[in-house]
This record gives sequence, C-alpha cells and structure tokens, in this order.
Amino acid sequence: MIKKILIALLFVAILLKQADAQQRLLSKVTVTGFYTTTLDVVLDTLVKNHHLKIVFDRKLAEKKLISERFDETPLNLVLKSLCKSAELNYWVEPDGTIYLVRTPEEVRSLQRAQRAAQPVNTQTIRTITTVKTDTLNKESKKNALKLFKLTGRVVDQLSGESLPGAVVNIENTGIRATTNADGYFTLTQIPADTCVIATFYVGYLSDRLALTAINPNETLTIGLSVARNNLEEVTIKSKKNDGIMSTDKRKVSVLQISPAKLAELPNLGEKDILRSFQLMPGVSASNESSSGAYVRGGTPDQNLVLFDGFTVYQVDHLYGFFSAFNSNAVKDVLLYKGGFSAKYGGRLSSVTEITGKEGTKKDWNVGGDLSLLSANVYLETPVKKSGSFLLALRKSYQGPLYNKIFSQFNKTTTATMGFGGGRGPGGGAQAATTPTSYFYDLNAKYTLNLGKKDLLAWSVYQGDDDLDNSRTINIPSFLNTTNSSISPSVTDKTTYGNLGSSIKWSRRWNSDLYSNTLVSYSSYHSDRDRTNTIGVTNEDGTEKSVSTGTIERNRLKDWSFKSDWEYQINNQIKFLFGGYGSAQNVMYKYSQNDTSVLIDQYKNAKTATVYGEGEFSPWQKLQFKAGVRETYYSQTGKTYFEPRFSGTYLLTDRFTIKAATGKFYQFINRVVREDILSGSRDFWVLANGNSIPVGNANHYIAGFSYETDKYLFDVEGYYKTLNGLTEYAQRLTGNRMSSTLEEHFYNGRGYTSGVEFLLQKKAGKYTGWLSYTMAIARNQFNDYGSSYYSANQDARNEFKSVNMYKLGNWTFSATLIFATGKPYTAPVASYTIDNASGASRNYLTISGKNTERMPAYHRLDLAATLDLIKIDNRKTGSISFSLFNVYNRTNVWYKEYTIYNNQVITTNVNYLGFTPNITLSLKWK
Amino acid sequence: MEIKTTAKQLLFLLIVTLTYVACKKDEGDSTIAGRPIIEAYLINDKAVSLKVYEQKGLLDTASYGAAITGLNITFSNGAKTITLNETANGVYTSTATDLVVPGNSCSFNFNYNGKVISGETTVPAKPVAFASSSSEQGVPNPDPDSSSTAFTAVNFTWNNSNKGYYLMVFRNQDDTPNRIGSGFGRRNAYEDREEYLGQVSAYKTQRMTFQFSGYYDVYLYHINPEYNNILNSSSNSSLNLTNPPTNIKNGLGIFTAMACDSLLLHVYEQ
Repeated sequence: MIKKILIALLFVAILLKQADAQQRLLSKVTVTGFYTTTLDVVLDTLVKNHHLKIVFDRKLAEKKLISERFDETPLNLVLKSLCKSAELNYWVEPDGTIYLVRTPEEVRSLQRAQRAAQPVNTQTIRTITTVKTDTLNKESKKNALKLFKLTGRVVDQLSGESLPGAVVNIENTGIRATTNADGYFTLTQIPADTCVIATFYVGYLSDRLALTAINPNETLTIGLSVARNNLEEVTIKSKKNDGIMSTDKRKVSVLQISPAKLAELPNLGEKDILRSFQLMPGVSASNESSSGAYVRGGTPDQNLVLFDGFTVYQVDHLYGFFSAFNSNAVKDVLLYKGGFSAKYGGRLSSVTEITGKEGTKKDWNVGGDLSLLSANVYLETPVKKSGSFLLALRKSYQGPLYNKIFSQFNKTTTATMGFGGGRGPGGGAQAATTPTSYFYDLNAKYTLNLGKKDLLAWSVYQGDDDLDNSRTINIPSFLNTTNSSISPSVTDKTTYGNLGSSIKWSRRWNSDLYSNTLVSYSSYHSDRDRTNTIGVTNEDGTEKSVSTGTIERNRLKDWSFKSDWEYQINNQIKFLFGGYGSAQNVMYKYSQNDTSVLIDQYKNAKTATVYGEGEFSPWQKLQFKAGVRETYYSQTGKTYFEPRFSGTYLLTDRFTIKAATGKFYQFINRVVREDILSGSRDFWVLANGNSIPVGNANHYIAGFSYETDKYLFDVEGYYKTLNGLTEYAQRLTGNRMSSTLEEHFYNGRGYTSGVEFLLQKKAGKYTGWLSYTMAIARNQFNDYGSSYYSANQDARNEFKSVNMYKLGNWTFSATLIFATGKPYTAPVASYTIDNASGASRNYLTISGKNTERMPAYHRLDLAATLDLIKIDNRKTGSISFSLFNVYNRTNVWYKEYTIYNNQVITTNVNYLGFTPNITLSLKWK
Repeated sequence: MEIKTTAKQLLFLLIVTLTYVACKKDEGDSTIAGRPIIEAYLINDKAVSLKVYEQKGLLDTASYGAAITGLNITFSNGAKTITLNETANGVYTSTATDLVVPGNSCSFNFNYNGKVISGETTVPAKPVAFASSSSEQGVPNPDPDSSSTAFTAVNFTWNNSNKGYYLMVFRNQDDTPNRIGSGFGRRNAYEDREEYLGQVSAYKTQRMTFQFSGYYDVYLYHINPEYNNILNSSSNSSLNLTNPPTNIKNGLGIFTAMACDSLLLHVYEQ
C-alpha cells in the first residue's frame, strides 16, 4: 500500500517537473520617454515611475549605454528592446519581479542553482531598489529636510495578502514600526528624500525601497515574496531571515513562525504549526501526546490560543499527536512566551496568536496535500474587486499512520482498572466490527475591503475528532441460547472538537488611529462514552437494550466582544487601548448506566476587561511598553488588576538587552483527569473562587541578544510564580445501586524558572538553530505534602538542534531533540489489607510525588523536500519524505502499575517509534 | 569586545549556578517503605484484634507482608488501658470482649524502629431499629435457559436520624454454600458480600445480590467515614499515584471502630 502511494506520488512529481510552461509578463504598464543614458538609470526610472521590481547586476548595467525612445510602449516591448541593445535577457517571476541577466543560462542557473556547473556568483546580483542618491528625482527636493509621515501596508507580492508582524524600518535611523493585524504600519518624522525603507518578514525575502518616488499622502504598498531555495538574492546592508523562525530583538519573548516554510521541517504526517513551536527554545519538545504548548514550565491550558481573534479551547487532533490547525489556512503565528502585552490576558503563561489566511486577491487557486495521514484541499479566490475567500478542508483517513497512533492509545485500555464500568471486553467472546475513526477540520474566511479604510473579515473554524474503539461482541452460536436480536456491544467512543467564528471590522480612521473590533463565538465539546450494551428480554417478551458504563460530556460556550485600538502619536509614542467582554458557560455531566447522573454542573461566568498600554521610545536605543489591564469576573464578583511592562535597550548595533515583567490572571482551567485512559482526558471548568481559585502568575524576564546579519545569539532567563493551580480527582464510592462520585479539587502553587539559549543561523543555504533550555518547574499542593516537588511537565535540560540545508530544489532537514525525562511517581512497596468482610485490597506506597525520572527523551527526525518548480520558476508544490524517530528510540510516555499475583507489574507505555511519512503538496497555479 | 567578555562571564556564572540546580534530585520520604501496616476493626461485643505486618517489596509474591512480632502494644478504650497479647504471629488481641463501647474513643500505640506508632478512633452508636421486610429471599435461577420468575426484594430498614455512615455485609453460614442455578458462566467462588451504603437508612436486595443459597447473617455496621475513605481509594497509574490515606500515625493501614447489629436471612432458589 505504502509502496503504491510512493510510486504514484513520484510519478506525479516527475510529470510536474516536466510540465514546463512560460510565464508571461502580465503588466499593463506602458512606457513613454527618451533615454540616452546607462541602463541602470533607465531601469531605476522604470522602477520609480511604474513601481516595478527589477533585479539586475548594477555593475554590468552601468556599462551599458542605452539610446531608446518609447511612446506608450508596452513594458514587455520596452524590456525587449532594452535587452536587445544591452545584449541581455529578461526573466519574469510569477510575482512580477523582473530579472535582467546576460544569458538564458544565467536564468537557468538562478532557477536551478544546483544544475549550473559553477555556483551563481552571488555578488553580482543586487536588488535594484536601492536607488543611488545622485539619481534622485528633482521633485523630491521639495520635501528635503522636511519631516514627513508615511503609512503603508506590507503584503505578499503574489497573493496580495497582508502580512502582520512584519518589521519596517528606515535605514540608518532608529525609525521602525511593526505592521498590525492587517499589515498596516505608520512611520513618522521620516527625514525625507535619502531614505531607504527596509522590510523584513520571516520566510520572505527582505525588501529595500527608496522613498524618492513615493507620495507620502498615499498608502504605500510593499510587496514581499517568499524566500526560495534557488534564488540567491543579496542585499548588501540589510539583515535578513529566510529561515522558518524569527525573533525580533526589539521584542521580549516573542517567536514568529512562517507557515510558508513549514513543509521543510520533518513532520509526522502533517506539517504542523504548533508542533514546530515545540522545536523553539522555551517550549517543551518531549510531549508527543500533546500539541498544546508547554511554555516555560506552564501547561497547555495556561496558553491562550487565539485564531482570528477567537479563543480556541482544544488544539489537539488524534490524542494530541497533531494540532487542530490546518497550516494551509494559516498566514502567521506568533507565540508570546511570557511578559506579554496588556492586550492579552486570561492565561497564566503564554499566548499563541494565529492569523488565518485571507486568500489571494489576485487570481483564484486550488491546492492541497496528501500524506499518509490525511488529505487536505484548499481553494482561494478573489471575490469581485475588493474581496477574497479561502476555504480549506482536511480529513484524516485510516491509513497506516493513523492506525499506528490510534492503536498506541487503545491497545492498553483493557489493562487499566478504571472505575465505573471500565471493565474491558469480555473474555471468551470475539470482538469484531471496528468502526471508523477520523478527524477533520474546516477553515473558511471571507475578507472584504470596504473602501480604503475599512475591512471586514468573517472567519470560521471547525474541527472534530471522532475516536471510536467500539466493538460488537460476537457470541459463538452454540453459546447463544437467547434469541435476542440485540447483540452485546462495547461502546468506547471519544469525540471532541471546536467550532469558532469571528466577524472582524478593522478601520484605519486616519494614519494615526486604527481600530479592530471583533465579535466572536467559540465552543468546545468533549464526550466520552464507555458503555457496555446488552439485550434483555423482559417477561412479556419485549426486548430492550440495557447499557452499563459511564458517559461524560463537557460543553463550553464562549461569546466574546473585543475592540482593540492603536493610536500612534509619533515615532516615540504609541498607545494601545481597548476592551473585552465575554460570556462563558460550561457544562460538565457525568452519568452512569444511562440513568443516574452523578455530576451535573452548569456554570456561567461573565468577564469584562479594559486595558491600556503605551509604547515609548524616548531615545532610539530605548524602547519600552507599560500597560495595565483590569478584569471583572462575575463568579467571584471581584476585579483583577494586571500591570505589565517590557522593554529593550540597544547597547550597540548588535547587542540588545531586554526585560519584561507582569501579573497575569486566569479564570478558566482545563483539568486533566488522573487516569488518562478511563475517561475523557480533560475538561474545562470555570474558577469559582473556592474549590477552583482564580489562578495568578508573576513573570520576571531578562535577557540579551547579539545579532549579526546572519547569526543571532539570544539568551533569556525567566522566573514565574504560579498561584491558584488546580488538580482534579474523581472517586467513585458506593454500591451498584446508589453511587456517588466525589470530586476533589486539589489546590496548590508553583514556580518555574529557567534560562534559554539560542544560537540561530538565519540566512544562507544552511539555516537552523541550536537551543538549550535549562528549566525548573516545581509545584506544591498541600494534598501531596508541604514541600515543593517537580511538576509533571518539568524537564530540567532540553537541547534542540534544527538544521535545514538547501541544495537546489531540495531542502534537507534534521531535528534532534534531547530532553531530561519527565518526573513520575513510582511505588516503593505494596501492602494488602482485608476489609471488614475479609476481602483483600492492594495498595501501593510511594516515597513522594514525582521523585523518579523517566529515561531521557531523545529523537532524531529527518526530512527531504523537493520543490516542484516549473520552467518559469513557479513553485507548484513539493514532495517531502519524512522520517520520524530515525533510530527508533523507545521513549517512555508513562508507567502503569498493575498488581498481578501479588506482584506489582510495571508496564511502560511508550511513544511512537520509527515512523516514515511522505507528503505531496500541489497547487494549481 | 568588553560587552562580549562580560556576557561570557555572566553566561558562565549562569551555567554554573544552573548546573547545580539541574543536578539536584528530589529525595522524597525514603522512610515510608519501612512503616508498619496496621489492620484493626473494633467491633462491639468482640475482642480487640490488631494485625501488624510489614510492607512487601514490589516483586514479592506473598499475599501479605511479614508479620511483625514481639511488639508491646498498648490499647486504651478511654476508660481502661491494657496491653494486647500476641495470639498468633503479628496478631495482637485482648481477652476481654467488652472493651469496644459505643461513644467511647479508642486508641493504641507501640514502639517500632524507634518511632511511636499510634492511632485513634471513635466507636459509633449501635444501629437502631434494624429490621427487614422478610426473613426469606427467593432468588430466580439466573441461567439463560431458565424460565425467569419475578423477584421480590427484601427491604432492610434502620433508623438514621443522625446521618451516620453504614455498611452491610452478607455472610453465608455454610462453609461451602450452594450456587443458585447451574453456575453457567459464573465461576467465581463464594465471598462475603460487602455493600458500602453511605448515609442512608434503607437497603433493598437485588436480583444479583445473592448467587448462593443458604442462611445468611446480615450485618449492619454503623461505621466511621474513615472506613470508606481509607479502603476505597486507589490509583494505579504513575500519572497520579498518591500514598493511600490512613489514620495511623507513622504507619499505614486502618484502625477503625464500628458498631454492629445483625439479622438472619434465608436465601433459596425459586
């Protein structure tokens, strides 16, 4: 089966590679003018007048004299005649970038660097957009020495999608800005003419643009294109980052990831946004069974996940081996590891902000991925002139990979001695009929530009998992003495998922004031049905089915309203302020034997928040943010005040020191069940101030970074205190007639502390990073004793090495992870007591909570990705081969203890061993 | 350059400090495995009996740990203090049967491995007005091929105005009781049946309550809540192992008192 798929995929790949096509120049630009000068001046003029992007060798162009006259001549003819007289050729990228090269071979060598006999002489090609100051347009002299203001937008050159979080700065000045959620930025007090504006965005080629030909009254659009393997772009001065991860040295504890480059990392079935965060420093990498982020000793429920503005409560697919986000529908992901802005709140540790793709504004496209786990298709199209639409669907199929992971979870179920009916399937009877299990998710987004100032976006996300391990018991006919038509069955079904939607209205009131208002709905559900059904014939001959077992349901609904405002006074001062209101209701129901409901909780809470934050940059070298956030929470009837601060200071050009602190509250907790296999694994509960307190945390972060053009060395240390932590246990007591389920909420506190080291190579053929984190996470719960113990997620040492090497159309990558084993509790002895009627019971004694350590977790993953490139240099897809856990390391997930024949038997439940995968990604155009 | 050097020094310091922290291991309480197990159910009108034994190693196949012999155990019922006699290895009993008095507080202590092991419990009041709706219980043959007949439950009632905790035990008087029906599919040996009832004042028998016929002693125990808390809790996954609850100081197990009343019930196959 795998062989067949492999062969088919290879065949498609070969076909695609051969399907060469020519890219036409679609520009409608016409050129008028008479030129008797050097080629570089002509091209500079074209760039200025027509906002073109032309790449050429300046040294070469300076030597070529041009004498041409154009009268409303279409651009392609202009280029043709220029090339003819300069003995050059031109080449057009699908994103509109024009390349002028000496020979067609040079084009080819650009496209397929590996095919050329000699490597491309990288020094010969530069971006033209650096205009020489001596060729300045005279008009701009009017503006000379006059400070002006500029508003612009950074977009993807190819699709027209806005790029949030891109850094825009004026070279040789300290003036810089970061684009907002819609890609807009404002720079003020620009010292006119001689300026060059440089733009950086992770995974994209950086851009340098001379401001000479720009009308400051209009919104400037800066188009960036995705960094590609085979284009060697050299910009002399600018720093760049064509890797997968970026950190902005002017921000504290923020990581940004480029979904466009995700496919090049080794993956387990799917390119996965949240999984790739686990390769970053400060995010734990040894939790294969959770896509959620364990950030700096925090648990996944302390990480706020926002997708297009709404909170997502469940980020796992298939027991956590995959994240719930389809990377084809994601444009940008930011992870705030701590000390985050007053704009965000409601979680103790971190924030993951995901922005969905809007879809192309230029031309429709269809694409998709096929892997051994799932199939994924997306459609993007412009809608009329001002809108765009994106639809992405993903569904798993029960292929070999799916089944491998599914059985990892289900083969051990019968070994546990759960409470309440978890007795496993009957002995002698045969189990049959395996129902299908699957997960799917859907993303849809419609974006509409209303005029130049307003933007409306409607986003929907739905994802569900249906994990079914039910069985019908086939009783051999000679044993079947009843003629019941209802055959006995074991239901073991877990379903969970999210539905979320938001409508966002963004408005640029003027170049200084921007607002983003959002209404959203988000719901989460988790159901676990573990029942045994048998047919019973009543005395009157009628048949009915009787179920025994447990059914759990958890529902969470969240309606929210949010309005965020940005007011930029000047380059030195920017204010952020806004409000947030939400109504949440949480239901948790635990019923037994389809009749008796043991727990039936239904809680409502309302939250209202206002915040304000100032971003100050009194000197170029100093930048700091100070904010406050005040939240009213209806369950406790109290208000909670959260001050926040973060700042950076440039000691030298390369050396930055940074610090952040703040207070954080959390009003909703996800409690994890102690026995992960005999019930729904976790569910959300609202804090009530008594048994479930409102959690709070203090963050203290300090660090420095040393950054050169190609390298980044970053160190951050943190200390975080946590209060009001909650753990949960259920105890079923009573007999078969009247049982009560006691709920125990254990409350405690904790602290985490650590240092993260990161050495990153950001650009070049080889990119990647080494990261080392030393961390401590300790908790103290009175129920476990008065002293602190290592928290479950504590991993003292964590080392990660991520390596990517580009060779022509191939990208090879290797990731190595080493982490100290997780702490666990092990029994030291056992004993037996008889109860009053003489029945014996076994007990295990432990020396202390989490005193033992699992063996170290380590794993090597490898991947090779081939970009499928057409002759015109368009990337139409990729095919990637991925090997997970190459040397088949047995990493222990957890240990289970069963008492058999008076002995305590320890069983290791392991994580996945060696798992290969192949993924084919294609797009129509 | 200077900055670089300072940074290097800082780094070095950090690494040294953290290496120390990184290598520290949680010790926990290593003495717990040496604590003795005590099992004692003090019942009115019965002799006091304490079983004391050791814990077992994890791979030990014995049912119980080794008995701890030669102890000098002092028992007090609030009014009288006696020393228990070791009547069998690790079993310490009193000769008097009137020591467990409802309402009184009982305690014990002894020295073991340099520590004083002790426990305390209160004797609950004897159940009041324990009665049954019938002294006979007919049970239909549960075999699949039998013609099932209606089951009439026996209702046990008592007075529980003080919201006490109750436990019911059914004990067949025969040494080898007869199984009801052919025993198809049910190979389980006879065991006394214990039902933890909680804070109720009635119990109704069910079709499946009795699998063996004969004369049963039906004991109703008025218990302390500690009985259920200690005995009915266990977790076997390393994700959340905790030490079992106990009311023994410096030891493990249970030391609890209960007051009992009983009725006779005749169970027969219908």
